[in-house]
Amino acid sequence: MPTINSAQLSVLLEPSAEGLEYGACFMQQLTAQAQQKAVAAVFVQGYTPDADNTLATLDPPIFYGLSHGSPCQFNNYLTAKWSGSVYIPGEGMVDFKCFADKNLEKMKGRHVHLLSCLCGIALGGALIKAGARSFVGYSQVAVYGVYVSGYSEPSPCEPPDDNRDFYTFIDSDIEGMRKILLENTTVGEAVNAIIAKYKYYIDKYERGEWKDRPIATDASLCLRWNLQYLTALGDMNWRPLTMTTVRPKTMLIGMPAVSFVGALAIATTKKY
Amino acid sequence: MLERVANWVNRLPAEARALPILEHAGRYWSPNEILAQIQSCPNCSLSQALQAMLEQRLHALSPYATQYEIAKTRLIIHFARTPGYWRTLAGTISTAQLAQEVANETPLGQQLIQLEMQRMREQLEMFY
Repeated sequence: MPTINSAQLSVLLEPSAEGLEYGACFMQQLTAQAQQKAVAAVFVQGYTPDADNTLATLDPPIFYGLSHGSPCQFNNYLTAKWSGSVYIPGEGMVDFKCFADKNLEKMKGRHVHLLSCLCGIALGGALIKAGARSFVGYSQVAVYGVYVSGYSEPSPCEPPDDNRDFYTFIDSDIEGMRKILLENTTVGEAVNAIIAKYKYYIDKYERGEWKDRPIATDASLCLRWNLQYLTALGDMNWRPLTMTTVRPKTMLIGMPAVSFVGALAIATTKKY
Repeated sequence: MLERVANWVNRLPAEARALPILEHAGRYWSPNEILAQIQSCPNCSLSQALQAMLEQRLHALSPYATQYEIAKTRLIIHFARTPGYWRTLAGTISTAQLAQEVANETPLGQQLIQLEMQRMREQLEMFY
């Protein structure tokens, strides 16, 4: 195995939270691929001191968060002062209030990618204002799976079948991180890769080999939904990995089974 | 012409073939119904009008309100025919809930109808 000599991605997540095991599975696969390229990543569970410690110690240029979000908050970790109402599917108009900025400066100089609901509405812009170099997230509730009534939910990373798809949504989102970590692309190129992956799956469900599956109509509609609300802000010409400082040691926090170069992930149980 | 319509219908997703896609003569037409009409009476004025709508992209000139209503109807039919669930990072939504959102044209319902309009137009464009 190549020596991991720098941390370029920190991944913050909480695998026990609702649905996050599906995203965590993809990140673990990507971590393994990244290690082959001598790119290291750090996986941190949704525990603030661990996340802070990782950021302070390894100073990764990329922060990938997988958790619940709201317009002004990414779990309990990142918060932007904001108040307003948002229409939430299934719940109607919901008021959100965040009274003060919290931890935004910790993302200064980093590429922040949040696979979570709603953070693109206000938190993304606030992060850029606070010095984050670039941001990718969603400005509505993010769909990660669809299934036909009567079928059980698949295992994480299980490819889609006739009646269930808990794969294409996260696979499309993760494509951006794959590009940056494995191909050293710019953020803009990574965003274009995410868009292309969503469109690839939409085409497969609407014109291609999956078009006659019972799940096809819902899956393509949800893919279109996520794509419509994908939000990218900041410096799209930035190539995050080129600025990485080589460090003498790697620190693994929370989940030692997983390591990355340059990423930190966080998650919490806070809904939205 | 019949062959061209049949090819178009076959290229569409199975479920979409039975969902309304055009409005003509006071009613909605699904691709299957358009094909059946043209097969049963190729020279009827009704068949020729439907063909013309497809060939000359006349559907693109349909009023926005008509396209909106067709898309709304498609979603309500789909959610009733294929019950299921959407999982989001904010929780689970059933297609029964979604059908209500669409029927009541809530902000979510309107967003879904807009997406369906987009998809419907692309399915019509598959004729070419």
